[in-house]
Amino acid sequence: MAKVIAVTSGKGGVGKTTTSAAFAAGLAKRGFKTVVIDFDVGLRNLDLIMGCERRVVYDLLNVIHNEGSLNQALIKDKRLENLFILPASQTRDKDALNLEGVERVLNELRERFDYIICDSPAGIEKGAIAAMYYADEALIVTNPEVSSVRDSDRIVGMLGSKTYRAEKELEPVKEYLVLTRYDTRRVDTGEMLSAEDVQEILAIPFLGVIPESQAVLEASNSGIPVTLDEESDAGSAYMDVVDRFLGEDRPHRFMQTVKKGFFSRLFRG
Amino acid sequence: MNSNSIFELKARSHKVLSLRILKGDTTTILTHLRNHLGEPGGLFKDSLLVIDLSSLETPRNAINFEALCGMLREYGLIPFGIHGGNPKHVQDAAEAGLQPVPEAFVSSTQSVAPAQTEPQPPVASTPAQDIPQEVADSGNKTVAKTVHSGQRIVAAGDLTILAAVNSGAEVIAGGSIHIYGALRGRALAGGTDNTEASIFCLDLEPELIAVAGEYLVNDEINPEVFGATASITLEGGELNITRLGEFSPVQG
Repeated sequence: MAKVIAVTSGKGGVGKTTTSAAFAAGLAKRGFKTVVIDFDVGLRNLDLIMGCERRVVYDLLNVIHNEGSLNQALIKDKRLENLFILPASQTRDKDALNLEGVERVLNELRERFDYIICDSPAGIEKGAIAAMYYADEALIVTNPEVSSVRDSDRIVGMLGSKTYRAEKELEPVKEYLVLTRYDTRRVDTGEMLSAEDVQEILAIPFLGVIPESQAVLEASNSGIPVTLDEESDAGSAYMDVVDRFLGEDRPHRFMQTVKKGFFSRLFRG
Repeated sequence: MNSNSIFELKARSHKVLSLRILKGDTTTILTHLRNHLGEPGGLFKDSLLVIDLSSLETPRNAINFEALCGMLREYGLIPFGIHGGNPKHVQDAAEAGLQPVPEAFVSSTQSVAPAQTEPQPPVASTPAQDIPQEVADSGNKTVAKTVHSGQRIVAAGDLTILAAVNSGAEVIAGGSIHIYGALRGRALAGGTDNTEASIFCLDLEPELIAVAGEYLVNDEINPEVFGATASITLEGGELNITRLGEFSPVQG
């Protein structure tokens, strides 16, 4: 049974698109047929992060408005057999998204994929609603700071009231917390909230932290989902998140400050 | 001897209801009033009330103020004054213990109906349409899940939350509010006039707390009670926060 997973946060710039790309690539790596959809109409970025920006012909809105077929719009990833991207339109605005059209596209995708990842735009308006409305599960991407946690809290409330599952009184959308840009040193000094604090406030299952990492920026710039760089801290942290999502037991990492030894300070700075 | 040691003269704003009588004889008025107010109960308990005759369409009809006041007192209302009316009315009212009061005591704003028990928060808040508003049909209410930012829970009676009330969330009750978790948002107990209502929470970090319209914002709360398990009651017209102890949540 295919699952629709919304990646959402409320606040912008917390790492939704990075997480969508990394999570989708991680699921594909684990052998699941996965498609990642960009719902950020007008501000599309997922294609860049996935490194397929030069191959976009048709997009999500073309399919919704029957101007192109799903097959024409789906872009196959060059690195992973099981991974596909459905890009957003850059030339329209979010008003062109309609829920009936989104439902039709998702139903078509449900027949062909195991996981459908919906990369939500920031905010709580039409685009964000469209991305979360038909979700079965949701990754709440949060930074360990007060404003991000409050916005995520708002989204958690909306997932419980403004989604298809909530309106039809079906089993509620399963929510998971992914804490990104986690910097243990700034947590230790009290500049950032700790993972425990955020879990306590949001009160949803926790999939893990992604450390603040140079690897994320490098991967984004070169159009590679960071999970394909499993050597990196962020890449391996995202793979842990994927595995925990799939029900595996993985010890939490990157939550304690690593005391740098003399030699590592000498050689790595 | 200083007069301050003999007495203290203090002011407190209190909501005054007004009963504007438009027409009819005493029997008709009593019948309709009883139908409108329903069973005598605590809804208007201890509310001051002025009988307003300024819009009376049948000014020559005598009114039995004894009977009217008797019935109002059954509902816990405290009639103390009249406004308007002819000299006969004023005289009859005086015999029933009602003083003539100026227009300032007569509210011209919205009607109060027992069915519409949602108390008005002291700080105006107009929730957006997407915000789930749960209004209990009657009485008490229990919510088992965390109240998230943007959510608003309203109960006519007592409200019990078995989780946290997060920053940006609002819980409102006509009675008391019990929170078995952290209060990080707003809690407004006692509607506008139930001064017996209280708020209890395991971890006090509120944006705003109010009982019967008396409120304190975060800035005005003594920092020493922050993070404590606390009760909030109304005493002598002021909010009284009592530290009951410390609470630490079970992780995981």
